[in-house]
Amino acid sequence: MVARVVYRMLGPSPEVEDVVQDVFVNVFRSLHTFRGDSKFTTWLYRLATNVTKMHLRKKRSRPRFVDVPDDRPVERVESRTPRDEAEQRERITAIYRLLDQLSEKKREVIVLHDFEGISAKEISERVGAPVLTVRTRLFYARKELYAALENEPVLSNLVDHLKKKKKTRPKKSKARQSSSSEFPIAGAVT
Amino acid sequence: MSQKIHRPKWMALTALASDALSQEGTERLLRHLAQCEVCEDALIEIEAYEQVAAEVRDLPAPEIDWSKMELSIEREASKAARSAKRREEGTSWPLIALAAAALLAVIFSLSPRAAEEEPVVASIPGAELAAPEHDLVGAVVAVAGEVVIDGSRIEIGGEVNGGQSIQTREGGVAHVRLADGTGFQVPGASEVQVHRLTEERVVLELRGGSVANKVRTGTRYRVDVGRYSVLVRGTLFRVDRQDDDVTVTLDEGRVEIRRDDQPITMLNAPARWSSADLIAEEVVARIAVETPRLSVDNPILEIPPMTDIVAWTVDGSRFPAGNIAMRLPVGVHEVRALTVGGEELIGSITMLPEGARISEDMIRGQSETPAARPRASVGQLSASEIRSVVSARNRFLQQCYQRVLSRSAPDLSGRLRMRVNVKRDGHVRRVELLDETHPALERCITREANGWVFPEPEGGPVTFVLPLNLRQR
Repeated sequence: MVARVVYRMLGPSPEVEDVVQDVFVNVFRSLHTFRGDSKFTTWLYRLATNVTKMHLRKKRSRPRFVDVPDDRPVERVESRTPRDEAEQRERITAIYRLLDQLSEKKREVIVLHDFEGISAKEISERVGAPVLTVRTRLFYARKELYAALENEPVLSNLVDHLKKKKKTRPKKSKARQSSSSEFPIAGAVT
Repeated sequence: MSQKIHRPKWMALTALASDALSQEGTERLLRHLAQCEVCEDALIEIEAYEQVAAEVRDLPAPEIDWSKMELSIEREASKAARSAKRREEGTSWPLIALAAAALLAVIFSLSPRAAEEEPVVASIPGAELAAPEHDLVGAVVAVAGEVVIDGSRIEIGGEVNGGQSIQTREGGVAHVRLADGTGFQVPGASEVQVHRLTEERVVLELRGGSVANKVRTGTRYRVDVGRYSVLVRGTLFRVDRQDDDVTVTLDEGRVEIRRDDQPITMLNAPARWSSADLIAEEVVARIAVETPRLSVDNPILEIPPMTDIVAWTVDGSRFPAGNIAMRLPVGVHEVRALTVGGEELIGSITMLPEGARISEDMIRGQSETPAARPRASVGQLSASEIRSVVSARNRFLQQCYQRVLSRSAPDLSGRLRMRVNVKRDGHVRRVELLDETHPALERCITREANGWVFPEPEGGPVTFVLPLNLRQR
């Protein structure tokens, strides 16, 4: 869990392991402050996000270097070519660059909701904010990201690619499909 | 006069992209999209973002070197102990050590690998050198073909002790379970000499062929092969030997390769290393080592040789055809038989406490097991029962298809086969698409089919393949 949270917050970065290490050192130092008011995992999660946020703050104040590419395979699917994987890796790195431009709070909800798949209600408990606030942050964070996609060439290419694909499709047939497309199912059972 | 600018309906479009709109709302928005370029572009941006978000979601958590965490906690613990000593306060060293040990237990219980395994006791450097070692007896929990230990043919349930040698003939395989989460497999035409087999340490020598190993975190485990040694720390790996060439394939965890006691390389999974080129490369191979799931206390499943069957796969573990015996937990297990013609027969077997045996009739579905000896069962659902459930849910499958057509793959069509495994109570246990399709469609269909409820199948769980035609009109 800790490694996953840190990884999702930081994105592909060689620093993940160091931050996870920091989290555990902090757990060791602060274990006595855990009063048992919440679940241990909630407490651990908060600590992990706080340590990661501190790391991100420090990182922002440091001079930026060229990103070190993450060489891990992004997905172990045999049908993917190395080029697919490289492109996917670039897209993920780019989206994290855009996340760097969001405020801490917005980044947190995006990571938790869109990348970790946690519900708004659970996020509200974790970050200590009302559900409505979480939803509002999520809405505006996404809007900022949509608008910023064009700033990243690799993401802008993806948008163009999807647009081209859509435009090549005759509109009439789309309207018809939406009302009458059928999905016949043959009943053969083996 | 200023022209009114149409702003994209972000809220509605986001809801559409995340399937949160009602059927009626979806249709209304789709109608609007057909005429609104601005909203259509906005939807594409949302879809692009959703695609990348899905890619991030699919990323596995990184492999963490937990030994580093262990070291840093130990360092922290000694720092705390030193300062406590300086202050000469009440906090005692044992308490701090206890806290460190508790934290290490937390770390291991949170590590994805350790989550499926027994808790690990943190080792104390140096202490184990002086500690006496306790003999461990390996148990042969699965055998196919001919397996010989120290010259005598071994059957299932046989023991493996330190000092013994295991040989498998061509086409055979032996699974040896050493402890929870630790065991090895010796495939055909291989020889493994067990030099040391204690609870504290396992040392194997590969004299020829291969040995695939699964090692629980914290176990000291070594495979010697020629002049090389492969030292292990909680991992899943295979060692192959052909004359003096050694190959190590690592699927999980980390191993260190040494030659004449000099470290050569440290491999982090996934990786393959060969002594021929001394270069480690990243690989994505999966090593099938299911040995730890086969416990010595489980009943035995027997699979005799059968006409036209060349291989068996039981719960993902593959065996060459022949006289096969393995220990499996009571419950339902997936069984696949590969025929000479390349056809795969799929079924399930229910292990009863007294064991089970697969007969030729059962696997070909020609007759049921005699009622007098109900040792195994394969369930049945009629085609009409399946069809009635699927037809009732057909419109949801249509929605999945429609959504993918309208958003990302307008030309998608063809035929899909979906394998559905239904539990004894009629609920779906597992859904698997046998053909490749658009990932969004696969997700949507799988999610939908996972919620289907069939009538309770007669005689136990059942697996069937459902063909789906994707056709635009």
